[in-house]
Amino acid sequence: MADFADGLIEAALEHYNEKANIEIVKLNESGSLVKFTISKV
Amino acid sequence: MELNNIFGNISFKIISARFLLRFWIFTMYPKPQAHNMKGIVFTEFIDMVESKFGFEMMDDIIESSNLPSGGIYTAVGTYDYSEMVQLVAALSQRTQIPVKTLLKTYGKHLFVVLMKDYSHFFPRIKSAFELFEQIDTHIHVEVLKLYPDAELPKFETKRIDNNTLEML
Repeated sequence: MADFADGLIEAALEHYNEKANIEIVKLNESGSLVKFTISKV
Repeated sequence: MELNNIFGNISFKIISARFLLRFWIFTMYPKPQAHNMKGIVFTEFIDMVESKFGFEMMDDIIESSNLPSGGIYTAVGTYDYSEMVQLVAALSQRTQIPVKTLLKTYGKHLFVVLMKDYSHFFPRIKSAFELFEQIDTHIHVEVLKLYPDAELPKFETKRIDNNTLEML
């Protein structure tokens, strides 16, 4: 569901008129544990 | 008469013992926990598919997915997470759009709906970072007041600096 969360994050940034790079790192094999690093540009 | 009573008593004890054994097995070795989703996640997915791909596409993927719910959802109901997995996989197969892309598109769609219909959950929030920081500590608390059976994802946020936020 990391991609679903990625969509939510992008939409939130768009809602507040902000731009950012989103880095996604899977922390386990199944992808159930994910780290997002959001860097405003 | 006495024999009947004795046999009756014995069979009652056997049935009771079987029941207790089954109950013990059921409670000691429960089935793997199912993950549930609130119905709004399904109803909004259906809305998105119908608006982007048409009603026939939605009917097709519901019919082909053989869902326990029959593809009938209410926003306040609770449904098995696996049904969403089946629906997205079926949509991907029919549209040839990768699951990854469909999930991201749906995340964007759902955010817009949540901001429109549940704006009272997001009072006085001025930036995306503020929103992310309050989801687990404030917004999910409010959601659980409305939907105590909701299974919400857990995460932590960490500000690295003014322009960088980590979510784990």
